[in-house]
Amino acid sequence: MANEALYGIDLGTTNSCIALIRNEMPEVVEIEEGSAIVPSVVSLDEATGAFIVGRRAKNRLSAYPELTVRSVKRRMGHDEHVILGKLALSPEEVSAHILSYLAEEAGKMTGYPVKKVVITVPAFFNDAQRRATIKAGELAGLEVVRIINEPTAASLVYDYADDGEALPESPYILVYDLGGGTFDVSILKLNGEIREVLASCGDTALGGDDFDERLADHFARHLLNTTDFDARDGGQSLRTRLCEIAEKVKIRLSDESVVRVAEVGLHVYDGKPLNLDLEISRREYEAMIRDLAERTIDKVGEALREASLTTADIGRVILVGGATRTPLIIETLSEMFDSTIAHSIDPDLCVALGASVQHGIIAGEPLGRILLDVTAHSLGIKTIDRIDYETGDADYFSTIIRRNSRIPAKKSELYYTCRDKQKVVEIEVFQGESLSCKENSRIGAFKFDLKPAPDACPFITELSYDRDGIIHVVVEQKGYNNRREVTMDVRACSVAEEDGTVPALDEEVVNYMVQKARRLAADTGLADELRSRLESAIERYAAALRDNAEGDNVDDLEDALLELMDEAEEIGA
Amino acid sequence: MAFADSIRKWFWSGADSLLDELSEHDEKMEAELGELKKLVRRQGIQQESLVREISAKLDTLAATDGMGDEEPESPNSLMALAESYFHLETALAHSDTGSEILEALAIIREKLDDVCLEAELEVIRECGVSFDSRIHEALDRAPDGEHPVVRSVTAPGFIHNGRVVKAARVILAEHINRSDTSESEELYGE
Repeated sequence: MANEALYGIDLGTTNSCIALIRNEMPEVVEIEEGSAIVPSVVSLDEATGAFIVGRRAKNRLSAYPELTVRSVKRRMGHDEHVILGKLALSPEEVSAHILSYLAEEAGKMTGYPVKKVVITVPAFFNDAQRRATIKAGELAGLEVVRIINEPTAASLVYDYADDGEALPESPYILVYDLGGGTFDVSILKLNGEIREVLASCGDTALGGDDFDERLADHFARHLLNTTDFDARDGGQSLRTRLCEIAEKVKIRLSDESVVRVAEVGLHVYDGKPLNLDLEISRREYEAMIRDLAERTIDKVGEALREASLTTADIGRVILVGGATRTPLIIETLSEMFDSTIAHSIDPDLCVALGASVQHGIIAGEPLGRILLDVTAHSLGIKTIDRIDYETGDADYFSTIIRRNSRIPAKKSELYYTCRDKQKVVEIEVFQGESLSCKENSRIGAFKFDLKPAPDACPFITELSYDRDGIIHVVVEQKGYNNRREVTMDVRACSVAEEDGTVPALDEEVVNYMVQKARRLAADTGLADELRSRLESAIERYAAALRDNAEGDNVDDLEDALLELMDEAEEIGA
Repeated sequence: MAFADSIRKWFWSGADSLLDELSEHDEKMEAELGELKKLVRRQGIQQESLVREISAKLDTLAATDGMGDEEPESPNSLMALAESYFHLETALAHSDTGSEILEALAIIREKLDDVCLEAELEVIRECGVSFDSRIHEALDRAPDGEHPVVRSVTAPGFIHNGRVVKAARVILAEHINRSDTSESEELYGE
């Protein structure tokens, strides 16, 4: 730790966050009931004359609207006053209360007083708005070491992230920031230590809250269709409840392909309690919000044009803001850009973390790599959406857990059978980044027996991946009370049933022997001829296992492989 | 002589069968040794793989060690259940429900409260208490007067291990007696 703690503050429109460098790493400070995210709301308690900030102030917003202010950031740099009761405060003074609160609470939590800070501002802030932010810091008794752009902060933190990604060759970074109520997209150019903002645009009335509204409208329509009850007659409390349910469902749909919404007692209608009971699939939800996602993509195009760049010029896309957890957003951007979509650092916190990193750089503090527990490869299953023309076999890698997802990860996808009364589906799990399974690594496979059903019968495949490299696969035939759970070990490439029993050999694609043989074959000291023989023996042996060859044949191939391995080991020794 | 020959013949025939038996054993042993050898090789590789796996796990543990003591997670399922129960009871209280059922519901609520308390989870749903912005989120404007009270709760809040996990959503009123609190007429817009 340096002599002085190095803090960075993300002073946001809706929420704010403070982070510091500790043990050469940036970390956020949890200051409100275990949460690092503090609502940017200030309320005046007229009785005591004290200012209340954060969650408590937000809780007072409806009760005391004339004494409470939110989104003051929108007014920064404007010559206007915020009226709180009998007080008239400048936007800087209101922001100063937020900064003071963050500083005081962070000091209490960490034991390191907050004296100097780096504060972030939107890339589109003009000079007056930046000066107003510095003034707010000074009014809070803080020395503002530097004001940096929010996208710059987000890109900085990824420079130190140990996410297995090489730094992109292209100097252009696109930062896509979709928060609760606003959307911003910025394009940065890396020029040595300097990060220049080439373009920045956005929509101040578009965010994750709009996604909630769409879902809440869907629930209201469902109530109308099933009960004749018009949710508009339920007043604000019903709307608030529907939006709250919608937010929870939205979060679940980020990981689950289908969510059952079961809520009781929404209202009383005709003397009876009104319940909400429906299923919603991610596809339905995505159809509801697709136009909103497209509006953000239009803005991305606008930013690219402003910077005179094309999608091919972008070396990295960084996701900021909680609403970027929506799979549709990541998928849409993945289709648009060939470059890496960086999403492994919590999108709600990465701006604050970046601000503290900037403070560390200014102070000359050594910064270590930020350890991230993320998946090194994408995980998914083979589907028939693409056929290998050479073999005529299915060969499409359908991603379920994306690369660089935070571990533990749990995601599911909905698939459909392709034949009437299909008896079985083979669940083949792969890891890799290619759309072709042939080019990815096969983890394991098992057969899932289906109950008789017409074609296009839906079944959910859920993959969970934990820190020990264990994949838990759950397959469920929807509506048929048919489910199977299997565990696969990525490191050992082994497969086990839920009860721990090992399935038949044909389901165990690659074993320890193959793993070790492959490591030996990768040894650069091996003669080409021996390597070639070894590789060929590995393939024959693995193929025999896969094809469920006769036991003797497998034994012979295994013996041959072992002999070659001995030979290779002797050379290595 | 004939006797000696017959003895020799008997001896050799015994030896032959003994030799046959020995050679059979030899083959069996060879096969078993081969199997054992294969088994040892396989186990060696498996052992190596396990050692690697354990080392990797230890590395991961070492890497994550000291990254901060994690707070106990909130009992989300219990909170979801308690919240659903709250809404059910409130809705039934405002519908054509017999007093016996309402009584039964109150008994279940008490039992649910006990389960919550065992999990260090406190449900915030009391009416008639002073508005406290730490545990209450107001849904409407506070009436004139210095100390507004909670007139009705539209969604319960939760305190887990002393931390407010979620504030209760409330509708406020001027100071009134607890007996005057009528739950949620605003809730159902009646």
